Amino acid sequence: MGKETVGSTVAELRTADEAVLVESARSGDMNAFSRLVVQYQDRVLNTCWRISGCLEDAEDLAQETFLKALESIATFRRKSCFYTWLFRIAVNVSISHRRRKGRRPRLSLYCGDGQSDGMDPPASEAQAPDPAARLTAMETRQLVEEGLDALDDDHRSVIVLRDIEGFDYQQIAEILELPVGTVKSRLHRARMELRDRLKRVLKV
Amino acid sequence: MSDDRRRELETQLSAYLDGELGLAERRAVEALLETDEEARALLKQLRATVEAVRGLPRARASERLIESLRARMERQSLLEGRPVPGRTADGGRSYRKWMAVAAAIGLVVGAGYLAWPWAQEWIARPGQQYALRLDERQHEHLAEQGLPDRAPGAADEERMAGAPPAAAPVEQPVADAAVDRALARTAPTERRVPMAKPADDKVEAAAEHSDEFTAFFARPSADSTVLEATFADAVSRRAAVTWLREEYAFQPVSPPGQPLETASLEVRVPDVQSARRVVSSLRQTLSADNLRIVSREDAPPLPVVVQQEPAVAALSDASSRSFEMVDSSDGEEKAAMRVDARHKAAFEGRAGVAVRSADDGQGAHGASSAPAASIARRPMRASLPDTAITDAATRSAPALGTEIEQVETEPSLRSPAAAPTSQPFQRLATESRHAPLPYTLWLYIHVEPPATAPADVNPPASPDE
Repeated sequence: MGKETVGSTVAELRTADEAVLVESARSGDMNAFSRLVVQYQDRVLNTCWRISGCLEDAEDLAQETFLKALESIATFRRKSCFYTWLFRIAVNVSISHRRRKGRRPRLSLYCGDGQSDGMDPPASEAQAPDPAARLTAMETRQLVEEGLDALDDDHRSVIVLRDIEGFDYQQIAEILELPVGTVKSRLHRARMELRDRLKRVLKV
Repeated sequence: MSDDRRRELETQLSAYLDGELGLAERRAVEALLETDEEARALLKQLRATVEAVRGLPRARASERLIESLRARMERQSLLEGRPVPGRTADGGRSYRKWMAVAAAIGLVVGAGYLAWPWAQEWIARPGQQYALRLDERQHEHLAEQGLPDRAPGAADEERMAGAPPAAAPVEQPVADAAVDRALARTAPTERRVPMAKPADDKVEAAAEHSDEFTAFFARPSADSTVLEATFADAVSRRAAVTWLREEYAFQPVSPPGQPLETASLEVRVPDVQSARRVVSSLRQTLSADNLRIVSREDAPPLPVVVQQEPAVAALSDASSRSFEMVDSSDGEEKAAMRVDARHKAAFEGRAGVAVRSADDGQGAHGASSAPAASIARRPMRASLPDTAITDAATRSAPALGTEIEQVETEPSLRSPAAAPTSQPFQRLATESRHAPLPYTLWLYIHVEPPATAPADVNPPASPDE
C-alpha cells in the first residue's frame, strides 16, 4: 500500500470516525460532542485569534463557536462536513466580533521574554542563535501580524484558512460558501496585498 | 505572450504555489516562469509571504478554554434559568443537554465525574416541565386522590421558622466557587423588589437573560405571567411560600379550605417592568433552576394540584433506613458528617433519611449546627440504601462541601430490587435520572396599572441594569 493510499485510508477512517461522533452528538451524546470539542479546539482557537486579531478575545470566541455549534447541531445538515460547518461558525463569530468592537490599535501579545501562556513560539524565534536574531524574528512576526490585521475581513479569512489552518481550496470554498474560483482569486489578491505590506521585511 | 495572458497566468501563481492547478494550467505557469524573470520574482515573494504567515506562532487551547466553556454553560443555565436558544418543543431536554455536555467535557479533560459532582445531578435532574405535561384527565385523577402532601408536624414548623428563602436546598446545585462568583455579580442589592415605575427603559435588562421571558412580554396582550417553581420537598415549598408572602406580598389564590402549603400564589404589580424585576429577583433567590416562566395559556387552570410523584411517596417509607457519610480521606474510616440545621432538614425532608453526626453517631438528632461553610471539602464515601437516596445525596453533597467519591449500595439496607453493590456513582445516578421532582408551585404575576402611578418613586438601580 503506497503512502498516499495509507494517508487516504487514514483520512477516510478519521472522517468516518468523525461522522460517527457527529451523529452521536446530534442524538444527544454529549461525550461525543466533547470529543469533537477537544479535537478541534486548537484549530478553532487559532482561527478565531487570527481573524479577530486578538488572542485574548479568541478564547471567548472559540467558546462562542462551540456553544453555537452545540445549539444548532441538531439542525446540522450532513451535506457538508462537520469541520467545514464548525469553521464557518468560527469565521462568522470572529468577523462579527471584530466588526462589533471596531478596529483598534493592535498590541502584540507575544513580547518580552518571548513566552506567552498557551502559545508556541515560532521556530524562527525559538531557534535563533543570538538575541539580535531573535529580536529581528520577533519584529518580523509582529509586522506580519500587523499586515494580516490590516487586511479586510474577506482577505484575512481566506489567508487564515489556507496558510494558517492549511485547508485546501475546496474546503475553504465550503467553509466560506464561495465558488472555488472565487477562493482562488481572492487568496491571490490577499497574498499580493500582504506581500506589498511586508516588502520591507521579506528581503526577496 | 500577450500582456493579458501574462497577467492571467500571474494570478495563477498562488494556486500554483498551493498545488491547486490542473495539469494544463500548471504547465502554462511553468512555461511562464521559465521565460519571465518578473514572474519568478513574484512567485518568490508570494512564497516568502506564505512562509511568513505560516511561521506565526500558534496558540494551544488550554484547559482554561474547556473550563471557561463549561463555566459559561453552567452560568448561562444557572443565572438565566432558561433552556438554551434553539430549544425545541421538549424544552427541558435541550436544557439538560447543555448541562450534560458540560459534564461530558469535564470528563474528557480528566476531571471525571468526581471533580464535578453536581453536574451529574443536573444530568439526573428530571424536567421541570413535568407538571405541564399532565393532561386534564391526569389533573383530575390527582385531584380525586386529594392532596398528597403530608401534614406538617412540629419538626416541620421548627424547620420553617428559621428556614432561608432558598427553595429546595436539596436541589441547590451551587457549590462551585466560579458559580458563586457569577451569582454574586448579579445578586440584587436588596431582596425586596420595588413595585414602582422604573427610572427608564433600561430596566428591561433585568430580565434580559430569559428568552422565554422576553418573548412573553413582547406580546402586547400579555398582562400577566405565570411562574412554575419546583421544589424537592414540602418543607422547602412551605418555606418559599412564607417568604414570598412576606417579601413580595404574594397572596394565596387557591380555593378556600385548601392548605396554605399547597396554594398557588399571585401578586399584582403596576407595570411590566416591575413584573420583570420580580421575576429577575425570584430567579436569583429561588435558584434559576427551580423557576421557569410558562405562558399564561399553558398554565393549568386554578386550582392547581400540587403533585407528589409515586417515586417520592415510596421514599417516605424509607425513614427506617440509615444514611451516613464516612470520611475515609486519611485511609481510616470515621464518621465525619457535619451538617447544619438547614442541610440536615434537607436530607430529612427529602427522603426521610437519618444523618449520623460526627458527635454522637446516634442519628440525625445529634447533628452539629456548624455552618456549611466551615465544612472542609473532602472526598467522602457514602453508603446508601438505594438509587433514589443516592440521587438525593449526590445533589446535596456539594452544598455540604463534600465530594462523593464512590457510592455503594449497603447490603444490609438493600432491598431485593435495589442495585447490586459497589456500583460506581455514575451508574446509579443514571438509573435514577427519571425520578421527577415532586412539588410544583404556581406563581401568578398580574400587571395591573394603578389609578395614579407614583411618578416620584424610582427604585434604586439594580446591578442587572
